[in-house]
Amino acid sequence: MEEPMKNSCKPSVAVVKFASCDGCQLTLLNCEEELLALADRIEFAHFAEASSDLRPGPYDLAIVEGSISTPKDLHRIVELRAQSKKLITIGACATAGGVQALRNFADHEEFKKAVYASPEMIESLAESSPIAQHVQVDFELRGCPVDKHQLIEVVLAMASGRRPKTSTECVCQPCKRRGTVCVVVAQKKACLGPVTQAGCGAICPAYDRGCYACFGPASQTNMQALSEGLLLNQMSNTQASMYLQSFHPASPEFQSESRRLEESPRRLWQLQPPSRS
Amino acid sequence: MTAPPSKPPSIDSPGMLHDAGPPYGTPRWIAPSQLQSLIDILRIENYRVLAPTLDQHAIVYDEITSIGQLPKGYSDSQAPAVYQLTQTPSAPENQKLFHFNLGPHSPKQFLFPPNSILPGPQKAGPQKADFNDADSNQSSDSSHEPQLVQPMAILGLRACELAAIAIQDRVLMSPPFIDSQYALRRKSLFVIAVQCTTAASTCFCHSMNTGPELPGPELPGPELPGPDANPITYDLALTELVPSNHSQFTHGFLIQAGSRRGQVILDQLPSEEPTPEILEAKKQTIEAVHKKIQRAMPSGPSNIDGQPGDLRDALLARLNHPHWQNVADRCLSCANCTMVCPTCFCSSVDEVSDLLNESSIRQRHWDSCFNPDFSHTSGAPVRNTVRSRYRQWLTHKLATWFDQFDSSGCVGCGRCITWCPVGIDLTQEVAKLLEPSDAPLLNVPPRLHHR
Repeated sequence: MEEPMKNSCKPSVAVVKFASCDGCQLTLLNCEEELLALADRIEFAHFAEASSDLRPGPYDLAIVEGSISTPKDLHRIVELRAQSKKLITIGACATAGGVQALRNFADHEEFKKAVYASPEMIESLAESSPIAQHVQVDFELRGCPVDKHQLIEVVLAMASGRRPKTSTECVCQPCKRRGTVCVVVAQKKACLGPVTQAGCGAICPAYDRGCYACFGPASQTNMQALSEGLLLNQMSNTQASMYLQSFHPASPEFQSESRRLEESPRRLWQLQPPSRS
Repeated sequence: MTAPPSKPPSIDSPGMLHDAGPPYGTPRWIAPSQLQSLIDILRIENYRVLAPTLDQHAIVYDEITSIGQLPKGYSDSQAPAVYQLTQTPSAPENQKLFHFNLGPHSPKQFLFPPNSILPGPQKAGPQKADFNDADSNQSSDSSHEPQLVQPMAILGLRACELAAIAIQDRVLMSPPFIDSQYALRRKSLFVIAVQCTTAASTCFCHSMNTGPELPGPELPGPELPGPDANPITYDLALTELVPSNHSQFTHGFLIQAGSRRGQVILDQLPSEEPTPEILEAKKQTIEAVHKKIQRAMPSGPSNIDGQPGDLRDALLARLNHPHWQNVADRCLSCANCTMVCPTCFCSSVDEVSDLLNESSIRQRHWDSCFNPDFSHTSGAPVRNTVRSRYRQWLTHKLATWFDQFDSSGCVGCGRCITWCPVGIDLTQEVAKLLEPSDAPLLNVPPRLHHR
């Protein structure tokens, strides 16, 4: 943002939902003690999760949750973009298509028939896609759900007209900084931390489980080294492929590596993790 | 720094540890229960006592109040990307409190914490904008002074960790560039070193000349030049011994002071003069550890007269070796090696404002040369490939560290080998890099000497 939003009149913010679970919007409400200070800086003009007082646009900032999943979404997002000076996306759905992007790799019509009694009533697109595939996005915030501290930072940065400070390192660094002992080495657990963007505070390894990559790929990833050097010591090709597809199946890095794993039948499930000495 | 002769020795002697000459360093023999007295005395002296404890399926340093919190009977088995906690099966080893190797955490965790707040600019009245930092003598604002920290005592540091502290001292405390936060913690540190009585498969301290034997009055540590030269970096040193079949002694510790304040504390513990049998048992234990260390850092290719060559020159001549790409294909660039390394000191500083943009704090956190953004300069990262980042880390650690700090940056602790999640082994990669290749050798500039 080149110019700070006007301070005399607080910037108006719209929080708008597409195909999503609402978890990222809830993160905004979970800000609790920071929420009052936040409300001092910005004005929530449209935030259905918080208030039924829904004011029409235009808005200074649109915070978008969810992916584009129906033909109606396609129109809504274009209209919202036209009404918003700045538009940011929050969460895995809005930035990468979300869990629902798993259907991108399957037969959409077959899915509809299997799930719904009257599939002809369902109007949905064959693919779930990120917002940036349809309109210009000013900033994408990762996470499933997003981290509250990062969310506040991004919203305040947008309100102050500066670039948000969010990390681009991988999860291993905050993990080690908080003193967590590596679960891969000490507990022989699979973990996607080395290829996942930081921002969550490395929560999962602190609770004795591997990272599930809900913040999506880090700025640079060595996916093949992760599979060959780490994942396949703990699990089969198919399991590793599914592991990579959990939260960001449509991210190109994860997508191509999970395909490569499925297509290479070299290594099978090993009950005994091999000695790596 | 030596106290005037008339003044009686005091535990409060400020500053660094060493006071040359006897009577320090005469070994004494204490029962295991005396370790509790040692902890109690330190706590009464207001020290926060840190020692190895069981946590998160590993042995890590944490605050203790009782010797019951030490990992008695535990050991570990280590290999590239493998750390397995084990229980020592049989007597007398299962009585030992220190029968294990290094865990993932090093004293860096406490002396150079992963996250810290630095003194920064503060909003002042309209007349006065104050941007002095803590190192500046002009600042009269007490909020800019480093915060007081409770003095720490770390029990259980090994020979290679003492060497690592000595290296960080040079990096962070050499005049004129003194990190006030580090210096404050370092100067209050009370070190109780422990002699290694076993070794992991990843240890290679002997080839880095940092261990396994603790330095002592009779055995000076590696020579570290410079104004802060300080070969003995402990206050007290312990060697844990258990009896073998025909021994006359029972489980106990040889204890030795390396400083005046260490001796003051040692004199308060009931102790005996060690028998010749005990001193012989110590010698044999250390010999056994030497034999157990299998791994070694290769030296450079032999000179024309058959002497081992300089590793710095050998590595810097091979910056175009094809093996750098081979490592890069396996390396995740995840920075775990730099996070567990006891000498890696890179950090970044962020200014963080409060919600109302009325004040800011200056936060420092560990960073890493493996993070692409760490070399972000003029619009793009300078080291934008894993190959260039791994090469930067390894050649800094083993080669250009000599130019910058007059020593190697590696102490041979082996943590980067154990804790690399894909098991990349520094010593093996160096051996591969020294193999002949098609890449022509580069001319290497002579080593810089700063001191």
